[in-house]
Amino acid sequence: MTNHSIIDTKDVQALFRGIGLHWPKGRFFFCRYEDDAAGRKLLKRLGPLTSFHALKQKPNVVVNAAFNHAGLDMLKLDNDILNSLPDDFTDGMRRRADINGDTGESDPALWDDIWKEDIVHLWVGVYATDEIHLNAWCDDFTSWVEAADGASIVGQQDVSRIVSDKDVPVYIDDPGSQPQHPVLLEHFGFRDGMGNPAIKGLIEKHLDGAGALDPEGNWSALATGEFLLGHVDGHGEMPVAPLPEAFAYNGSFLVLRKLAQDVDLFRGYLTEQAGKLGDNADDIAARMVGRRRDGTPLIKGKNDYDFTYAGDPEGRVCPMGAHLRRANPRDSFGAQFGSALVDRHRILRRAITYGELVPHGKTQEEVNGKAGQGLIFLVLNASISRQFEFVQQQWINYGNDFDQGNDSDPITGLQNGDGQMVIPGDGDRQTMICDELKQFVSCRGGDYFFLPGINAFKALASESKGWRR
Amino acid sequence: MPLVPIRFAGKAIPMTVITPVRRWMRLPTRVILFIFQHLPLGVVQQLAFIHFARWILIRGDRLPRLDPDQPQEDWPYDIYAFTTNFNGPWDQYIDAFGRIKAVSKGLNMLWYTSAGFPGPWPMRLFKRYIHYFEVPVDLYYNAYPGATVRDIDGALKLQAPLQDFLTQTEDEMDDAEFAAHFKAFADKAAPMLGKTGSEPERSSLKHRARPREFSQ
Repeated sequence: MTNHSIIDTKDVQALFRGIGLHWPKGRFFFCRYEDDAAGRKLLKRLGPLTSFHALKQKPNVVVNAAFNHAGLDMLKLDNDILNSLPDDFTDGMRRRADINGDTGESDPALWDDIWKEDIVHLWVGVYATDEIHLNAWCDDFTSWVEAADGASIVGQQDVSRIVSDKDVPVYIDDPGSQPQHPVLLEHFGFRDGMGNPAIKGLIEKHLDGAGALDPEGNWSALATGEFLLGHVDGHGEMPVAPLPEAFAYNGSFLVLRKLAQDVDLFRGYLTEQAGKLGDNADDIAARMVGRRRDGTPLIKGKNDYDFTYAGDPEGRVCPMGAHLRRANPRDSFGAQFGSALVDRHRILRRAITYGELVPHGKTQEEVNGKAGQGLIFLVLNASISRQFEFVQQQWINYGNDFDQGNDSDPITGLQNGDGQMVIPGDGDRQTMICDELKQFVSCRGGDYFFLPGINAFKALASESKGWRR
Repeated sequence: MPLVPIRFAGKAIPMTVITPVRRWMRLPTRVILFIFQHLPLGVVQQLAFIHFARWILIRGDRLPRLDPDQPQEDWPYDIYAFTTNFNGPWDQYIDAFGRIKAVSKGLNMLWYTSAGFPGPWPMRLFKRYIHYFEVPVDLYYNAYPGATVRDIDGALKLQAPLQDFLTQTEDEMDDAEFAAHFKAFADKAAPMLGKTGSEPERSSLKHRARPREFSQ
């Protein structure tokens, strides 16, 4: 049907495909190298990385890697390459805190120590089919790094997939909201990982509800260049990318954010609101998210993926301020535009959770102790400022495009203490306003990374002087 | 009345673009402007983040003077001024110009006579052109710095239901009756209840107007 030959999937890192339930366990290493020679040795040890193509053979261990700006700088790359990197990436996430709304509880001063300064150089994401394979790979790697001169692991993070289970209740006060079938969950007990874009030539299996929507209501895959550098983007142009072309080709920019989720606070807040508003807490939570716990959208569509918002311009079915609608508004701005005003701001989410699921009736302290639980938010996009930062700033932390004024996203938005979420009534159900929203999700650190293509990674690991100053 | 430098102003952002029009294009430009003034521009009105947009042609030999004593200048081209206000980032605004076909067709016609206009597509050239001819705005008056067009629109829509509710509940009534009126009003008002006002100290909107993508 489709000709895939344009994109060499053996050159694209596996993270693009989405490392799914087949690899439920993972560990992220944050590495540092003291000079370029040590850095190259580390890269050589890591290679070859797992490619998009190789994921089909279902390897036991998947390894991906990405550099932040300090990491590329330490490799002593040519100044022309470093200067061609976009401003957002060069700044890094800490210096862009004002744009992303990382203030208050997400303030960089409160981040994990490794993110407070330019300590991290390289992200290494390891995913495995089980604990045994994961430990085997990681033990090998850590002992190699310990012996290596000038390279070190400055931080690591265990991650895992959570699947819902009838015996682990995640509801607050309505047992009926518990997902009936096993689905991938995040810690607030909602199905996760559903709203990802269809990308031309790369991920085209499900177009309906995932791609771009034209005014006639037809779905098509988004342009490859919105996510993968070196390919034509949604404006029919080559995306702005670092030079030379071979350096950026089949690469992308990776946003990594450690988002801590305060499950106790979330459940406590909703219980309180439920008492005040005369509804059950799980229903209010679902309206904040835009989906039920098992992933069913509030808006009736053809299936859990294929639905549109234009028929609900006042948000009486799915509130305008719901997380789902803010993160991907689809045709919210008018059916006559389709998703034309949204397509340039789509992001490819590859998030994975950390910590154990907190069951109903237990506190997060009992389950996860001080380490807490949350999400390692991974986003791939061709332009951090146009895609991730735009969504974060304009749609998550601000509500103007949705007629919500200053109101921010009730789940992940920045809260100032007087935040509200309006849930318009539909005639039967009365209008509800959740007031004094709390900071349920706060950022604990992270950075902007450059995820090179497999060949570019090889070239960076090689002793060839072509790209070095 | 707040008269503030734009860097510190509220939620609206002004944009002025002045492009040169060659003299032999004066008549066609006037024809185009005439057509646009007499056409319903429904699409532009649907783009809720545009406050207003205006194109004016000023003859190069009739430039306004501050004083009759000031010598009349005679420029080799006419001046075509575009002024607009918008909410949100520069990139989002300009992108919408190019991405909505009906708007981009209109823009192509409006700027058709401007020297060197590359057309609205590809966007990179269009953005470069707009950015190049954009004039810095030093002073800007904003009557409602804490509100966007959508906020004001919502407030105006709220006016009628609010008046109705106040009239209905003027007389003494029992709690149940008042509750029924109040609930009905709340349902009507719900889509217009987003908080407005100047951005709080802890806000992520401080940097919204810079054309980042373009600057690279």
